[in-house]
Formats: sequence, structure tokens, C-alpha cells
Amino acid sequence: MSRKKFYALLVIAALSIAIGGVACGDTIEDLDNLDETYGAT
Amino acid sequence: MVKVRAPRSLPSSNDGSPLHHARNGPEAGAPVRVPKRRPSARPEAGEPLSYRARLLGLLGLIALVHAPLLRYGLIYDDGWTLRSNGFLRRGQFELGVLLSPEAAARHIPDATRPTLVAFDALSLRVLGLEPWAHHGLSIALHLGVCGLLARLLRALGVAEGPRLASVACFGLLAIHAEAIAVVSFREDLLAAALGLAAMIVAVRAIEAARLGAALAWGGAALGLEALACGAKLSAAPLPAILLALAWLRPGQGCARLARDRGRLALVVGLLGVGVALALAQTWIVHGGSPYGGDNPRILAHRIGLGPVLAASTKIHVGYLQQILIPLGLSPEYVDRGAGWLEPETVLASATLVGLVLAAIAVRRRAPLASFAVLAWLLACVPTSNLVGLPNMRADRFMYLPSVPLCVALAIALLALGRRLADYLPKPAESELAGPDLSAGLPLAVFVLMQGSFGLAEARVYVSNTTLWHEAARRAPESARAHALLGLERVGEVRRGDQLAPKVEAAAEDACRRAQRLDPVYELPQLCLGSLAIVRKDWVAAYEHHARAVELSVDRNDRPIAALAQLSLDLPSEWFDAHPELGDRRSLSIAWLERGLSAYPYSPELHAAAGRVYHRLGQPERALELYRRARSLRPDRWETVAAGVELALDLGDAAAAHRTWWSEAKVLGRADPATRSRLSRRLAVARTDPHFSLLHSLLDPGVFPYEP
Repeated sequence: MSRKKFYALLVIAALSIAIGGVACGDTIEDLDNLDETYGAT
Repeated sequence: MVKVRAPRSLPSSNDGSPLHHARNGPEAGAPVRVPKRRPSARPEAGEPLSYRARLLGLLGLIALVHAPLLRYGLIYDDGWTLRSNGFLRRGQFELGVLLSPEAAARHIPDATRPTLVAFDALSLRVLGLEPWAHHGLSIALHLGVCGLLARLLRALGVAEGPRLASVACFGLLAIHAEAIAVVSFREDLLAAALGLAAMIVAVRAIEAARLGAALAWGGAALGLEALACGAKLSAAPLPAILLALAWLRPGQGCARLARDRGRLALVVGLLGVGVALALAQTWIVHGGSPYGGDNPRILAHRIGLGPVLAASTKIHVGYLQQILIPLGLSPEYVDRGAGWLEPETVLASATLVGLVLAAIAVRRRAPLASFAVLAWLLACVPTSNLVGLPNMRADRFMYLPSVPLCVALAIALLALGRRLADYLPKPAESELAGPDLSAGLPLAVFVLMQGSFGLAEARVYVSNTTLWHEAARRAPESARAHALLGLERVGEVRRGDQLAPKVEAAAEDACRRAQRLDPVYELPQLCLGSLAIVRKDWVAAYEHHARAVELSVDRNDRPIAALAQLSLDLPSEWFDAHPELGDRRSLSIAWLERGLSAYPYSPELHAAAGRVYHRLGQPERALELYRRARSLRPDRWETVAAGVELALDLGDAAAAHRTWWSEAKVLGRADPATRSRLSRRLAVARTDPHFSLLHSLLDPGVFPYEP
């Protein structure tokens, strides 16, 4: 495989995953206002 | 219809691998290193890429996909293990204490994982507490695991293509989102990295020509395995997996492992010693179970092992489904038992038993598939609930166990692609056509699907608020999720002076729901106690916190800090009803003495103790405790603000001003109410005719020593 083709594939893969990541998730992001929380495990 | 036959074994090296075997001479059969040729000039754009360049490109893609994690915060247990873990700070960390029963007595977080604690201490020294830096470290660890996987597969003689495909599958597997996105779960990454390194070194020990070299490599494998198990016991099954490799021989390279059975036994034995060392440390620190023999958070202690194991069969079939098709991933799963005769349990048990029997039956015809199934099951043993865990199920548990499945999946997908390529039309002159790409189509689809779901799943871990909101949505019967969501909502009060009625109602709803779901869990009590503090209902706050301490076996430092402070605010009528508890002062000091002896590394508890002594009119003791709190967690603005207030109360305007100036960065994070109160008091202090600016600049301040 040539370098050009390989790098093009990597870029396509990254873009596809980025688009897929947006499409697959329904999480609404919210930021914290606390930096002290009780542990969970 | 396309007929697909699963690959029977790991494809052997076809890349002129540097491992060759001497055919003649005294070291016949031993591997010989052939020096690599270095290209004399930079390759042109059209030239074929080297294996190393392709591996680096793939690792770059994995890094790029995980790059959004760099903007995430510290969440989940990060506060407990990293931010508020005073033991990790300069001057506090002592390896001798960590490896002794004192570690449990002093409630050092994750004391049964000494490798992880030492790694955390080092990372804190180098990176500070910047969340992006710690997320960067987690990504680097994951890339390291991917690189080590490639190295191990090379040592086992796997060809370049399947090696890279395996790394792509593992590196972008969606179920790894939790382990990579939560900083405190890097224990899984660390254990995997050290465990894979131990396996690579163990293979070298088996293949070494001389016994001396074998012992040296074996010793290194022992050390790495002990360190891996010291990070997390998920690495404990690796010696058994090495034996499975030698027994099943899923690839030609694996045959070398079984050539000298004595050598194999020696190396497996040395790895076993590494596991035993880690288990011995757990025994010394905690007397067996890392979570305590009577921990009520372990469901098996409440309902017995049988129902837990029955539910565990369904959990493991669920893991398999999630690895193949990443649906149903979650930051939270509800712990519950099951009956062995329930249809779902029977089906899940039959599936697992069937897989084992099939794996044994086809071990000669399809050794790779056989190895993948058996190695996955072996790797699942530490988290299979045979030994009680506070969480019966978690996505992160599949980090290391997914390795053999990823290798087998990658090779199967490549085989499927080759079959499909025979059926696809091939435009002769097209640049993008050719077996090179079409053969990789099924693998590409799988990797892109996994990467997309993984990226989406990782967004759950951006913040605690998002995490517990999603956890409560996906696991509506989880008391933990509702309690922590309620606590997050109660925390909204810190933004303003009082809680908005709607937020208050939502917080109470979450706390009460959590309490209904698990009446003997400490977190709902803490949630209700914190809500009562916001409402200034000191009696309710005290009683809920006291109940939480009664129910919880660990992490009681902050509830005790709250109890010590609440004791000073309880009404006289309450003490009249509880004469056995004495007065406010004695009750508060009793809580502090209990807490400070049990949690000597808790910055929050020391700061609260300082505040109590400050209120009780013992400024020297208060100052001592504030300084200790500051040395345990220098970035905590509450401690610095309390120190400034103490100096102002003592009339030491110079120390107060010097601390206000020198700690401007830390105090910049203080809430507006505290900042304006301190600013006003400092302004008043400056009106004193004895105040001197020069004197203030030369004063060492409240915290004269650098932490």
C-alpha cells in the first residue's frame, strides 16, 4: 500500500468515526460545578 | 451465498520477521536476531509503507479518536484516588507503609494495588492535577497496550496484516471507553500493559538458548507479572493463558513454546510466583479480600454466592455480545442475583458451557477460535464474581480479557474479507481497487462501528453530572446512580446562596428514590444529609450522616468531617434527648479523634478539623490542622481561605495579606461569596494604622512551607 493511500484511509477512518460517534450517541453533556464528590465504587 | 470458513490458526509471519531459527550449530532451533536494514533515504510518497510506519499510523488514528477525552474532567473515583488522596503528596508517600497492614489501617485508597498507587504518586508529581494531562496519560497507556499487543503477536510469529488488524480491533473496541475515559480506571490499562510486557518477556525466556538467559528473562517476567497484578488482579490469569497458548498452539510461533516443556513449566512457575506475590500483598494488607470480608456493598455477602454466580453467567454472555456488537454499554449496572432455574440463566449457562465444550472439541481443527474462547474465559475469572466485588459488572472489566477475542475477530474478519474479495468485481485500472482494500472491508466496517460507538460512549464520562444523569437513565434501579445524581444536584447550591426550589425538589426526589432502592446503602443517607445541610436542618443532617457512617465500611472521612462540624450546630433540645453524647464540644472532638486516627491522609477531614478548632477558640491547633490539610491537598481553595480567615481573626493582617497574594491562583477558584467576604475583611484590616505593606510582603504567610 502506498503512503498516499494509507494516509487517505486513516483520514477517512477518523472522519467516519467522528461522524459515527456523533450519530451513535444521545448523551447530553453537562459540566460539573463541584470538584469534591463522593466516590462510587 | 458466500461460504466463510473461520481461520484455523494464527497466520504465521510473512514479513521477513526478524525472528529466524538457526538450523545448524550448537544453538540449533534457537531464535537468531537478524539486523534490520535501514533505508538510506526518506521514502517517496508512492513507495510502499513499512510495517512500523503503518503501525504508527494506526496508533495515531487510535490516539486521534480518543483525543476528545483531553477536555474531560476528573470524575467518578478520581477524587478519592487522586485529588483528595493525601498519601500521594510529596512527603507523605511511603512505600513501606503501602506494603504493610498500615495501608489498610490508614485507609489509603486502593491500598491493595500498590503498583497503581505508586504510579499515581509519580504521575501527580510530574503532571500535577491537570485533568487533560491525566487523560493524556490514560490515552498514552492505551496506546502502549496496543503497541505491546503488536509486539507480543510478533513474538508469537503472527503476520503483519493480522497483527495490525488485531491492534485496530483492540484499540478502537467500544467497550474500552470506560477504562480509557475515567482516569482512576487506568488500573486496567496499567495491569494490561505490564501483563503484556510480562508475556513478551516470558516468551523470550522460553525461547532463550541458554538456561542463564532464560532465568534472567524469567525473573524479569516474574517482576512484571507481580507489578501487573499489583496494579489489578485482572492480570493474574496470564500464566494460565501462556499454558493455553502452548497447549492449543493457535499459531506456528506458539509451537516453539511447547518445545521444551521443562522450560515452559519454569517460566509459567515464575509468572505464578509473580501472581502469588501480589496475592500475598493483598493478604497482608487486607487479610484476604481486597474489599473486606464483611463488606455489605458486595452482594454475595447479602444474598449468598449462588444467586450472584447465576447472574454472572448472564453478565458474561452480555459481555460477549457487547464485544461483538457494542449495544447496551453503560457506566452503571444494577447488582442483582438470579435463580439457576430461570430461563435466562439456563440459556446463559448453556451458552457458556457450550462454548467451552465446542472450544475443546475443535481445538485441533480451529485452535485459534478454541484459544480465543478459553483464554477469554480464563481472563474473566478475576472479575467473574467468584470472589466478591462491589460491582458485579462493569465495561472496564473486559479491557484485558478482550485481547484474545480481538485477535481472533481480526483474523476472522480478514478471512471473511478475502472470501468476499473473490466475489466483488475488480475494476482493473482503478487506483482504489484491488484485494488490498476489498479484503479489509469487513474489518473496516467492524472497526469503524466499534470506534463510533466507543466515541459516543466516552462522552458519558465528560463530567460527574453527565455521568450520573446517564447512569440513572440507563440503570433506573441503581441506588448509587440516583444518590450521586442527587448529591450533584445538591451541589448546585454552591453556585448561589440558596437552592432553587425545582433543583431542591429534584435532588430530594433522587435521594428518596435511592433510599427506597437500597435502604441499607450509605450514599442515599449522605444525599439526604447534604440536602438537610442546605436546608439548615442540622438535626436531620447529623442523623443522616451518622447513619451513613454506620452503614459504610470505608470512605467515612468526609461524613465524619460533616458530623464534627454539625455537632457544633445541634440544638440543646437534641442533646437533652441524647444525654449519652455529652455536649457539642465533646461530641465534635470525639468525631474528630475517630476520623483523624482512621484517615490521616484526608485533606477534607483535616480542614474540617481545623475549622472546628477555629470555632472552639483553639487557633494554634486550627493552624496546625490547616497546614496539614494544605500539605495533603495544596490545590484546595477552601483550606487556603480558612487559613486567611484564621489569620484575620488573630489580627495577623500581614500573614493574611501575604497568603491572599501568594495563593491568588488557588483562591481564584473560590466561590464569589467567599472571595468577596475575604476581600472586604482584608480591606478593613488595611485601615488599621499598624498595617504595613512592606511587612506583609516580607511575612511568610499562613502556609510558609511549600507543600
